[in-house]
Amino acid sequence: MQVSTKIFNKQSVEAFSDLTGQIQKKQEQVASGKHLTKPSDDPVKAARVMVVKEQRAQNDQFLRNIDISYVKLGLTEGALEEVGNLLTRAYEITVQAASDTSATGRASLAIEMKGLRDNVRDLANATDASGRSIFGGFKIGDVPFTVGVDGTTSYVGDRGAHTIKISPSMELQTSIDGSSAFERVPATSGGFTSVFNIMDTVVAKLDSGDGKDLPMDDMQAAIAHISDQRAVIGAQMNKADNQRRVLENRNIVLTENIGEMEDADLSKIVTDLQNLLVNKEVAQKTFARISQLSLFDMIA
Amino acid sequence: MSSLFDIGRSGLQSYRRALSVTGQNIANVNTEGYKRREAEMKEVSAGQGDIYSVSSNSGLGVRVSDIKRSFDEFLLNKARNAGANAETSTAYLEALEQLQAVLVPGEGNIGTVLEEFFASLHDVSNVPAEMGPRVVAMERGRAVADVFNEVARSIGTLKDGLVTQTNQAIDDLNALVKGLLNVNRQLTKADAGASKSLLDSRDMIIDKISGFVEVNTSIDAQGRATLRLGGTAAGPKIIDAAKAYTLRVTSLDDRFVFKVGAQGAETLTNQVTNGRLAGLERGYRTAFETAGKIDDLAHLVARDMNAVHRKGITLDGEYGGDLFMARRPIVDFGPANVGQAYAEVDVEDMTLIEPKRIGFTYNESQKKWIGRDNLGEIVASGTSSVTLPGMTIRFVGQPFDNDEIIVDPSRAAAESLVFALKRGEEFAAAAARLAYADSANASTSLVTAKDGEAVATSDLPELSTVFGNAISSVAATEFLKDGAVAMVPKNADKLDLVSLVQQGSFSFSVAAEDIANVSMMTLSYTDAAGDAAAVSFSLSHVLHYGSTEEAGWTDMGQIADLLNIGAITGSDSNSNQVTLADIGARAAASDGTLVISLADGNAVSGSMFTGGGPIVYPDTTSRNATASTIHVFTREGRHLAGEALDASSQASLLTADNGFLADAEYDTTHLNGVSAYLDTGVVRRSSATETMIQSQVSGSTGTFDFVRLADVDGDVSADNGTMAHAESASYSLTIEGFTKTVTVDDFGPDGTSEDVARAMIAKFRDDAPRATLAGSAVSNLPVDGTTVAIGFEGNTYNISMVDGEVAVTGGEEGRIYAFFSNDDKLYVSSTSGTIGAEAIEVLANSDVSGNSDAATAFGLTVGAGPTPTASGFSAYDYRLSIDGARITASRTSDTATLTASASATSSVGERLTMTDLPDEELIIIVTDGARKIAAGYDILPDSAPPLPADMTVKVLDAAAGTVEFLDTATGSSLATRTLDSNQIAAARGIEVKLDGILQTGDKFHVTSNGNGIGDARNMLDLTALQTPMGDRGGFQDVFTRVVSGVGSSLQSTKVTNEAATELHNASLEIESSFSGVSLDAEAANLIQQQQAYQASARILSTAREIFRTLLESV
Repeated sequence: MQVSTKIFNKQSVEAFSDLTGQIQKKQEQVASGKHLTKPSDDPVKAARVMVVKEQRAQNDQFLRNIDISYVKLGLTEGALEEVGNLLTRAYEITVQAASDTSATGRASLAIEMKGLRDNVRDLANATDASGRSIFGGFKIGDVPFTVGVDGTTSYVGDRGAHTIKISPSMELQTSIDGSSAFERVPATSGGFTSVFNIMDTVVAKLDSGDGKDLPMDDMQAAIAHISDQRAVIGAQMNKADNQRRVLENRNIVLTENIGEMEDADLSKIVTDLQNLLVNKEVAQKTFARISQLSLFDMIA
Repeated sequence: MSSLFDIGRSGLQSYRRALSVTGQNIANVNTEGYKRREAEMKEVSAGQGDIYSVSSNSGLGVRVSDIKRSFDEFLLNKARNAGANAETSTAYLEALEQLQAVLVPGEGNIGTVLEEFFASLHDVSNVPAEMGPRVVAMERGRAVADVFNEVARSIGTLKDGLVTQTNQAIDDLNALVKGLLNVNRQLTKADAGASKSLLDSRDMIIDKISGFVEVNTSIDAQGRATLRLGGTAAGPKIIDAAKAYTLRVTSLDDRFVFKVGAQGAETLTNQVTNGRLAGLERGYRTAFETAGKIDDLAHLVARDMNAVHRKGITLDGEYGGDLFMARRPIVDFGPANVGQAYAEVDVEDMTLIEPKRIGFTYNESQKKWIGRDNLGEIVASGTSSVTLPGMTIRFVGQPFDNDEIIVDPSRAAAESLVFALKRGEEFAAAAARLAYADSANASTSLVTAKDGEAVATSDLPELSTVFGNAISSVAATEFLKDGAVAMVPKNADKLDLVSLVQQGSFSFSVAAEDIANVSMMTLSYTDAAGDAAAVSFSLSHVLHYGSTEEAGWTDMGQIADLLNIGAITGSDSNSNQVTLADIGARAAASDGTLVISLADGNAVSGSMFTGGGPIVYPDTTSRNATASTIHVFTREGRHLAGEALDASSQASLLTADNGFLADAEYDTTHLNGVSAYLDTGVVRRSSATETMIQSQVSGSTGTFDFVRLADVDGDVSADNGTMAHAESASYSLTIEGFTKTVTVDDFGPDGTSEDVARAMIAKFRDDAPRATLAGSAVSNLPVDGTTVAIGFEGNTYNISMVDGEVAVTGGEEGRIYAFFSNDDKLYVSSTSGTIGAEAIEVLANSDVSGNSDAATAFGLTVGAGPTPTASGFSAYDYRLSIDGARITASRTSDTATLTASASATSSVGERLTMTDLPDEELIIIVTDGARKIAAGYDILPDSAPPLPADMTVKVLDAAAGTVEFLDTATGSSLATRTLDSNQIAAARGIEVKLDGILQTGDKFHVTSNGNGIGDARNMLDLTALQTPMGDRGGFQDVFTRVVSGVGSSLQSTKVTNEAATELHNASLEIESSFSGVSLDAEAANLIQQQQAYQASARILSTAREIFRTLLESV
């Protein structure tokens, strides 16, 4: 078939620019280290990459949520631990008061018991770094435990528990309300009583010089209850730990996934690039040689 | 015989010509549009010999028969079509690439910005009470709006660019068509030889045109081209042998419209199927579609996030507002609409509207607008309005068949998206409700609460449609039967209900033509004592106006007026002259109706003579002196006001028909304000006496507050003439055995409550002597400001000099007056009698310091004045005083007990006043009696819903599963329910579920969470939208789909483009192999032709040698 010189030249030139385009694309991939640079490079993969990246970003967010929950849970745990210690001391005092027969001894024990009660109340009213009460339920802007004119302590918060998301479907409780923590001690007489009630009862009895029928069992129940609450918080911490590991592992997998889909296989690309460069050079040289070849050279 | 010379010469000449053709080819090797020429050689054969010549078989040489232009129409067309295809995809590809760059410009695309926004919401949920994350979230929220705005704007710019490019392409195309027309014209007159280069131009121009738009080419015998748009011969012409037709484009919002022809005579065409123009058009449409998808996404973001956000509570303790705001639905009209119809969209709830474009077409035969979605599915239809989720579309004006109206709820949503919060506090992180068990519960049961089914408004007529807002006899509403009569709406604040007796009445209806001639009226009735009575009135017009007056009565109102003022008198059975008022009656009339009501009588019969016309007999209404009992209930059966009901009445009244809820339970805890229901105040006065005189007697004193309801008890006539009421009030007060009664004669028809009290106390004081005190003459009147205090009837009065005059202040108003007589003596006196015959006393210094000197200045001396006396009067042992409408009676001795009572007659049977009505519907029920009720009320304007009040659910009986819903703040009982098998109960729009074994007395709180700043549950619900749930949320997925959609189009277009370009190249190659210049081929031709030329020259030299040989041989 006869090939017109003009078309031959034109097509050769187009072939060169096509090669140049391919080389440029490879160069782009080498420079970005990415195989996919635009969705049109591979729409299906690109969509997948977007989804996976979104998942990874969400996981990062969940990890950040978990970090924050550690702070909150830690504060609550610390406060409850301290309350447990104080109650243990209160129990000792109660035991001592039951056996101590001297009125002055009981009076001084009463004073210590009052101090312990106030300490427990302060802990129950503890706040975080921002001044928000830890045990206020959702009403963290108010002081949750108030002292009435009769000296009794009552809870004015609500029983909401702050939760955060640690996966699209999993929530983590980061707080425990004051009522659950301090007011729901199973009473020996049935029903529930509050830590403050128990301590107030002891104080009242000692104040009146009465060492009999001190609520020893209730005091023990209070210690057990606080320890239970610590366990609740501990369980949440465990949950957070586990989920952290899950998320971290998942992120590793996701990152690998993204890498597989998106990252450039440099050795392959460089090889391709090398081939293309050789291609281009050969094509250009060939063109030059062929264009030189003309029958006219033969016409002397 | 041919000459060898001639043959040789012809060869020389022919090959020289052929050489020049080859030379021309070589010279034009790079000329655009040049088609290879070829010299066609032909033998010059010998002609038939004539009789003088010898015929020969050898020919006469060679000649160039034609210089052929290498042109193959088929190949050319094929190359052109392939070129048009390649141009289509190239142009489309460019547009798509730009679109992709707009959507995914790098890192900051809609998907990543949304992701960051969600991340910031997570941060808010971690520490909901802190401002820091909220401020960040505000910024991120704005960024979301910004990125949508930016993408929308960029796509707009892209579309504008495509319009510009298209217009440029069309200008170029039209210029080419004009050029082609020139060629056609030259071809018309050109001779064959000159036309070769013209044909080259022609084909080149057509090639170029094909790049812009695919054309169908046909060439006529003269080589002139006719082009039609599209791939077939059916498209519209853009040029023929004589004429060029201009192509034009109009850019609509969603597509280009191409038109061909002279301005004004254009025809629309859809034959722009391939070529650059088609590519640009596709790009434009894709840009529009993509913009639509982004709009849809913006709409979804606003819709779904707002829906969740509005359910939450802000740090300010209010319901959350909209997070994002976008433009409201846009209404478009079909370009070809004939009618004047338009549509209005009422948005009821933006959060329910689907981002679906709906095209309505009017169907004349069905007289209906039929709405279809993008897929052509019918989604709605209606005559004057169509209701779709979240909105109602109303069609206004007269449509024609096939008129179109397009409603596009999401269009321009991206462009107009605005982040609506102004402060970080406005993020509604907390849920609107918190349910928890009371700390003191004996059980460990838990509670959860959620929205129950909203309580539908009852079907009862609303207060304002039943009652005119007036406490008036003639504005009262009469009911036919006992039962629920009206619903008090939620936003009512104050309610005043008055139950009235029914007065006996006559109602005449006179035909219009007889009104003028009404001449006489008789009324038979029984009076208050039950005795029969009758009265007749002569009503003849002439009698009252004389014969000079024309016509006669024009309106019965004229008669009523004259009767009411007593201008027309009648005669009773004893022939005494009486007025209507004398018999205790009142008239009202309008047009032909005349109503006469009797204050305490009962209507029996009557008649009205109308001159020559028929005698008119009245409808009579019997007197019913028992006013109905008014009850007010909540829809839950809480009896707020009225008489307690017995079991059978409860059963018959607490029905769904009466507006009660199915679970309503009768409860009298709050009846008549014994214990307040929420903040509602209830005052019920259950008789005429209680209503008109509110008395309180205890120990030695009693107070009596008089009430006069002039519009109820007075003589009143309704403006519309259908009701009249005759004065019916009287007030009696009995103190220590003495009874005094006042009626309208005492306090006057316009008398107020105060007037009644004044009239009453005046009656008591009438018999008693006045108290007086006279001073001695003073030489100088006391100076201004001098004040002396006196005591009278237990009150202290100050007598002062003001501007040279004596003024009395203090005590009972108007009770004491004082003046200096001409002889400068001070006289002090009570204005009416003192029933205790008490003296006026000048108070001592011990009572008022310095009073003695002041007394001296007035010519008085400290001490009691003379005891008042009157003949036949013995002083009572109590005092009376008046203050406004209140009369106070008190025994003179503190230890004595006051015996006093009051009674009143009135048309009012009972009165119910309720204030601070609860924020819920109430039911008014009327039982027993006249069923005539007047109501006054305040209805507050609708306002933003406040947070619902906190509720407590109390377990009444754990075994039976009965619970009571109480208002936490007031302890008011709101509803009673029995738990279902899942321990679920719903009341007041809230459903509670109790988990665990309940104990009687357990309490569960459902609070509005207004102070729950530590709550982030609503924020968690918001963040949950990050992943799709049903048709909500999952915005990033939607965006990913949009992006990958564009990406896929781009990828496939690239492939198409490569293929089309390849095909184009191949076609060009084939075509050029036929008509292009190959230097090698031409060089070969050159050599070949040169050789032939040389050989021909050789023929000549041979001929010469032959000739020379011949000469030499001679």
